[in-house]
Amino acid sequence: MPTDRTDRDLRAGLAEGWRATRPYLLSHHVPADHDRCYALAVGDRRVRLCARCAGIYPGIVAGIVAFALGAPHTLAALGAPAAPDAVALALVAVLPAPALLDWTATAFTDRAGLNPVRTATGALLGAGYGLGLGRLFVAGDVRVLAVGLAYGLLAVALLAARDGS
Amino acid sequence: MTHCINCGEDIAGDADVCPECGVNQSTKLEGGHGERSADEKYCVNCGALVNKQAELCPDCGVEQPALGRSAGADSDQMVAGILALLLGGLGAHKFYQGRVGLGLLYLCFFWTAIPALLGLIEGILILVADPQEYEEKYADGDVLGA
Repeated sequence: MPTDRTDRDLRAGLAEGWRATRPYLLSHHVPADHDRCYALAVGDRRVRLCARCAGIYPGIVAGIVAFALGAPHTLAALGAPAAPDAVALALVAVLPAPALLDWTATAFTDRAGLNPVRTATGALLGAGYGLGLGRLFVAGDVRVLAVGLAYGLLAVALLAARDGS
Repeated sequence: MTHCINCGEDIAGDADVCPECGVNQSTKLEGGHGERSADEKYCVNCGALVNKQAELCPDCGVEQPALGRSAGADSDQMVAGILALLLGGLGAHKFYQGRVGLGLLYLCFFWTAIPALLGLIEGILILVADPQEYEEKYADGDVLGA
């Protein structure tokens, strides 16, 4: 590796990388696709926020909280029956589907989609993911990995199809 | 649809290169072109001439993409490696290397932790590679040097 670089060059390069990244940190889209973002007024600036991710992250928190509340020992302590493992796994498998369907519909057709729909489906996706995290790391249900792998492979295939079209 | 940053012509929203003037849409502009002076660029949304440094168009308010290097142009190996290790989950090394599409993919799936894992691996691969290997395999920003 070259050793004639100065610390100043390195700092300048890292700053350049950060400047290249910063415009996309919240929007997650190029300007041409900013219709898929919310435009928030922050002071005298307009900040673009990805509509889908505005649902995903709160959804993940909700999913983790739901898992904690649905954990057998918690429900048993409250006198309620624990949700069967099959129901929990089914939720992990089904909740992400609307987001995938909505993204597919807008990626492969002329439909522009609606940001509230993106947010709502993102929240369901996040909830399923949060539930899955609990099922995998706390309950030790490795079937969650199979669900994740299936969705991952499907996403890769759809992205490849979109980029190839 | 969007406007070419160099010549202002209408181009496809996902176009990496303008079919009219051939300029890469994520590259740093050098010099002027037609009505555009050396310190100006065209707004990607409304096509107005704005300062090259502008982050927001003063006419339409749309955020302008940061103009960095084009994919495959000179990127510093150590900078790319450190960005991959520390901010790989955000796709920072991809944005630095001019691969905006890949960077956005990393950002969108940040919550899965997979981009962070990929960034960690890519950072190690980049930093241990010799300069020629970096130029051949990793400088263009393909995932894991594929």
